[in-house]
Amino acid sequence: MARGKPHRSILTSFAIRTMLAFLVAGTLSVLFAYARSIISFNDYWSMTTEQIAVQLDDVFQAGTYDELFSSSDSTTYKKFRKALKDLVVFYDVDCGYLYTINPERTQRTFLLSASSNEQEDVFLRSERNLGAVSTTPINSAELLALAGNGSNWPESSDSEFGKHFSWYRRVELPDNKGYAIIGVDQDALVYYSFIDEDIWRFATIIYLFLVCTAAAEIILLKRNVVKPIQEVTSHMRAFAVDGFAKDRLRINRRDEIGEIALTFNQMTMDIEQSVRRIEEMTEERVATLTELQVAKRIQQGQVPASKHVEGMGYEVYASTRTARIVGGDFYDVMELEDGKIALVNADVSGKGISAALFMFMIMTLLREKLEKKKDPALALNEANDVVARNNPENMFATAIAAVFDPVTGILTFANAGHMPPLVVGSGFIQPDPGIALGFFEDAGIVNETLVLNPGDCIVFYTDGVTEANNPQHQFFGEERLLQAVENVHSAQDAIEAIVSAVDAFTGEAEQFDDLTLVSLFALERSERVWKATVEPQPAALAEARQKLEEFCGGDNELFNRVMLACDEGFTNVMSYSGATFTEFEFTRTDSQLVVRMADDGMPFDPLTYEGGNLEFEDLEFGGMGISLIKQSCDEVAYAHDDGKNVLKMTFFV
Amino acid sequence: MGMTIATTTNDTITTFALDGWLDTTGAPQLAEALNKLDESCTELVLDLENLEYISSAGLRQVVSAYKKMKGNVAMRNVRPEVKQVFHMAGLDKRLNIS
Repeated sequence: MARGKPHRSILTSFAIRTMLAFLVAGTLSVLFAYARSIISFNDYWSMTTEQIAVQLDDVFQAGTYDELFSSSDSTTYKKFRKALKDLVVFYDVDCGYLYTINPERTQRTFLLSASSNEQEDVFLRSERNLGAVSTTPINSAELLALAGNGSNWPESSDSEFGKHFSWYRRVELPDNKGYAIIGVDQDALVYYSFIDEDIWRFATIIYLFLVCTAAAEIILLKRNVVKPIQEVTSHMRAFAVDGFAKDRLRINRRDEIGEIALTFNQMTMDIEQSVRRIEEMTEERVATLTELQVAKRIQQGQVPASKHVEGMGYEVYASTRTARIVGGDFYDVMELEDGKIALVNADVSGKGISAALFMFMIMTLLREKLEKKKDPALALNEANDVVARNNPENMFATAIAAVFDPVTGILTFANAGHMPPLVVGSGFIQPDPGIALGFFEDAGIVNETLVLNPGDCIVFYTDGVTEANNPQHQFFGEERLLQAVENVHSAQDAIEAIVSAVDAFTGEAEQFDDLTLVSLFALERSERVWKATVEPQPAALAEARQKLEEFCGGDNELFNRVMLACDEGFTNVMSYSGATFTEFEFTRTDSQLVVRMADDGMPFDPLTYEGGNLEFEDLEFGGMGISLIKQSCDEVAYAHDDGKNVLKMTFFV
Repeated sequence: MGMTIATTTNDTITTFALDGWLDTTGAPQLAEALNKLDESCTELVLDLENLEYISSAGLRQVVSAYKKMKGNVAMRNVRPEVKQVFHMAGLDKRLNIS
């Protein structure tokens, strides 16, 4: 998330706080300075008073009391008054008084007074002249001065000339006339103007200094803290957006900011390294996944997720679901050329790629051998021998291979250590366990047979079904498998019912193992027909013989009977009829095998041939064939139809 | 299909070991082997252990052999399915089958 500038910079907060602090500090300083100024001016005027007192004392030393204070009109007095006035002017105070206080401390008797202000001076000359008396109460400052402790602290008073501050000192009168008080007045306005001027100057300096200091602090803060932090922030933001740092932070400092920069640089380098490693790993993983996806498509090409085959006499459904991208389970469904169907259900040890490789080998071997030989045990044994010879990893596969003949309903199957098949409605069958493919050569796996009547359904499955786990780690098990197929009426039904039962059981649990099922549902028995037209040559019988073997489905007794009848019939046609061709037609159903032979030779009904009672000596020249035909068949009929001899022989199974 | 005949002679007794099918194709081979027998042979043994099949053509050659050897023919190790054909042809009553 990219964010803009912060609502309030650290700088603003700092500036506001600093200004406030400086304002308080400045104000306190000014107040302090004010007090100091007052004290110092008081001292100053107090000293001034003292100076005046000293000067007066000098004057007193120059004359006698009587000379000085005989009359206000005397030259000496005037001179004296002039001297006082000069002092007042010189010291720039308002006015000065010289007076005595009576012993009762109740009244003042003025000796002399003068003012720097002419108007006031005139007033003083008349009102506070020699001998004038004032009864205004004597204040403490005057008393202290009289006692010789002249105070620096002034007394204030109001008069028609405005507010004044007064300082007092005592002066010893000549001729042992005691002490007089010299009082000096300063106009309050003047007094304050001095202080104000002083304070203003001080305050200006103080505030100027504080403002400059604050400004300098702020500038330093901005340069040394805010700027670097902003730089770090912008690097962080760029790093967050781009995922890598364009350049390193260049803040070479030994303080906390330098520490942050160093840590940030270290962090970005670490993160970049991690990101690179993750990217590399991701690339590898993507490449592996892509390869796996290709492998999956290859596997699905051979083993689709589901397959449905409906043939004459059966319905087959198979499905597989791998736990990983590729799996080790597989099924195979092959429609064989003679109408039979071959099924394989297998489970390779392990999972994933290794299992898939092994699976392909087993599947290919089994497919080839089943298609050629149509013999489940043979296919498993031969595939096992190939695999067991070179099996460094001791991989193995359990498998069931089966071939179903929809004409006879016979399911021939062979087990290589696989799960016991389930026949819907009658439960699990327990075939010979055999042994898993890949362990030892000469596995000795055997064929077993089972007749499936129309409506019967058999299910082959891998252990991924019975060992499916629910979140409580319970197995799906055989009981649930049996229940799942209780009411199914097709192979597809059966497998879909099982898969949905497994899914409902496992719920949220992860599929742990591959899940592969094949089911065969037997329908009405079909018939198998073979037709061929051959030249009447001995070699032509070979093809018919091969088909007969197939049509008899391993029933040797039946094969011998049919073969003998066909042989004798064909030999007769070859030997005696002059035919140019013979047509064979074999029709095999569940219960019988019908052979129809037709030829274009001269009409001859072998059934009416009366040659069966020949003596032993005559047999050398023939005549046994027709008898053998009659005895081999269960039913035999002859017709001459459409210019052909047609012999129809029926053999019950 | 097809048949092979292995001939062994022990003094005056000759043994034909038949292997395969004694049918229209195989019968001429047996005929040829019979023709080659000379006067010194007084008894013929047909070892049919490996004979899988016999048709009327084969039966005829067996009868021919009987005639030529004046009945001095013995059949050994006859398989049930072959014996059945002899039976159907009614030959088992006249031939020395075991």
